[in-house]
Amino acid sequence: MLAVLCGSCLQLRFERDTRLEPVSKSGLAALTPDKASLEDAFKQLGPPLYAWELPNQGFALAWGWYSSGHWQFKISVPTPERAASPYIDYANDADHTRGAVLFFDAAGRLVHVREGLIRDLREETRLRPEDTEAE
Amino acid sequence: MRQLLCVLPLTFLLPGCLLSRQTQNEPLHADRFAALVPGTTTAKQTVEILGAPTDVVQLGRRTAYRYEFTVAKDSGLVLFVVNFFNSDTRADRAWVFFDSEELLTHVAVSLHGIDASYSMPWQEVRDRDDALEAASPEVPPTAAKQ
Repeated sequence: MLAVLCGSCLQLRFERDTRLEPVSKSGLAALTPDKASLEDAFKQLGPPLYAWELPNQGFALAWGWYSSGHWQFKISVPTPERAASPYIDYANDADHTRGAVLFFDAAGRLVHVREGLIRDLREETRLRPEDTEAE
Repeated sequence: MRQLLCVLPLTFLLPGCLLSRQTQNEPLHADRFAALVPGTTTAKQTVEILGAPTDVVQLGRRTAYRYEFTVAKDSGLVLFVVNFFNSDTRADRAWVFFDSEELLTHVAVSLHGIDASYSMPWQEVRDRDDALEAASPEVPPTAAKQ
């Protein structure tokens, strides 16, 4: 009965969010810089999530996926003015997709591989407008 | 009236469930990609076969078109104070690459949109044996394989 009465103001919830397909660890390991081609990358990892331009006609392709699971405790307190809902979220602030970025030269040959948060890797390496003008 | 009073507590014991499904864009068709021939098919012909791409990216002298269809299936179990929610998002995705002459050079396709599932957080929805690390803490140790 207590649970029924508390259900509207107290919530303990578990949320899981899974997006896209896991990136194959062995597939990534099979791609050797200076040897692997764009075709090899597609064969091992499938189509990428993102593609962007790099200086000197090069380009980068990113593969990634997302999986999170966390508990959340929520309390709602109605007041005469409005309902206040402070809550504690035990999850890390990890609203990012993690994976690998492959860097290719103009000929489509793999030159470099990096793993990490796609958003960060993309920001670090994205071609700036001044780079385009310089070319 | 007495019967109603007897039934009322039962309704409180029944769990609440929710299901929802969202899609974005149109599903991709494997047979249409089979019609694309690297070295022969042009960008114009590709658009005639596949339709307008979701995105077009310039990559130096190359051009790449992205086609994507996304399905998200959400499910939840509401047990008064304790609630469980799960969201599973999958996609059909394809990239087609063209050279500076707008001739097709590469095609990469994966069709997983149909695999999105309504499941509970303790049900495993991906094979993680060969997976690169995902973004954040995984499902707690109580999770069991389906």
